[in-house]
Amino acid sequence: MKASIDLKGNLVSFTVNTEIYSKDVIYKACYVFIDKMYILLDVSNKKDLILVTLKGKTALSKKEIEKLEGEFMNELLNSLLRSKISKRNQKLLEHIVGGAMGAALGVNVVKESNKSEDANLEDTIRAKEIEDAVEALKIQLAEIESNGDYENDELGIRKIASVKKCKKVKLNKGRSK
Amino acid sequence: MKKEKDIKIRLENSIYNTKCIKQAALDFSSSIDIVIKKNGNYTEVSMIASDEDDVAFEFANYALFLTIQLK
Repeated sequence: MKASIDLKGNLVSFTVNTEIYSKDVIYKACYVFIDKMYILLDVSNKKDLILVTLKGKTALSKKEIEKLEGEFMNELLNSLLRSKISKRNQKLLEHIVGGAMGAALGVNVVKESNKSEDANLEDTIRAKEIEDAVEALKIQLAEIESNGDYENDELGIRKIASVKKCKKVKLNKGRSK
Repeated sequence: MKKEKDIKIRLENSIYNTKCIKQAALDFSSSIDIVIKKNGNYTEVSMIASDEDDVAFEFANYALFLTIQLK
């Protein structure tokens, strides 16, 4: 990575590899320097390279321009390290913040959550009871189907059917009249 | 009297958010004449301003600032 310095244009250009420094890291570094100098980002002809152009807001000497570049590169490293550390500690941070939030919200939340947990438990017990009852009925039905003859009519279906039939006949007679 | 020139700058769309470029153009339009045009992966920004001022860099800086802030 060789920087090209343009003294007349008061600027320096160099490429940054995005495999080493991600785009977010480059953005972070740019944000630090955005007040001090003009920054222009562009994609390079080569893959995975971003062309960075830094331009001083006032006229600068060659040394000062080189210093600009050096500072920017250092900031890139700093941003990279910071982003890596924050990624590594993200879960720990979430845990700490979650704990702090829970403590700040007070005991009510805990109580409410306990209540909701109890309600869930009751629901599951009830559901299990219903499931057991259905299973028992299924077993009973299977036993009846396998052992009993349908003519015995152990479930009393014939009775219900005959009552319905009678009602229908009565209704039809009423309509014909 | 400063001589005015047509200054052009190309901003890559994967680096600069196009909405931010538009916003920057809107903000700059009160002081200079500005035209933005999409050209492939780039957004071309044309400005009529004094050559002595770093308007193009100023614009790119502002667009970058808005892009970073949006993230």
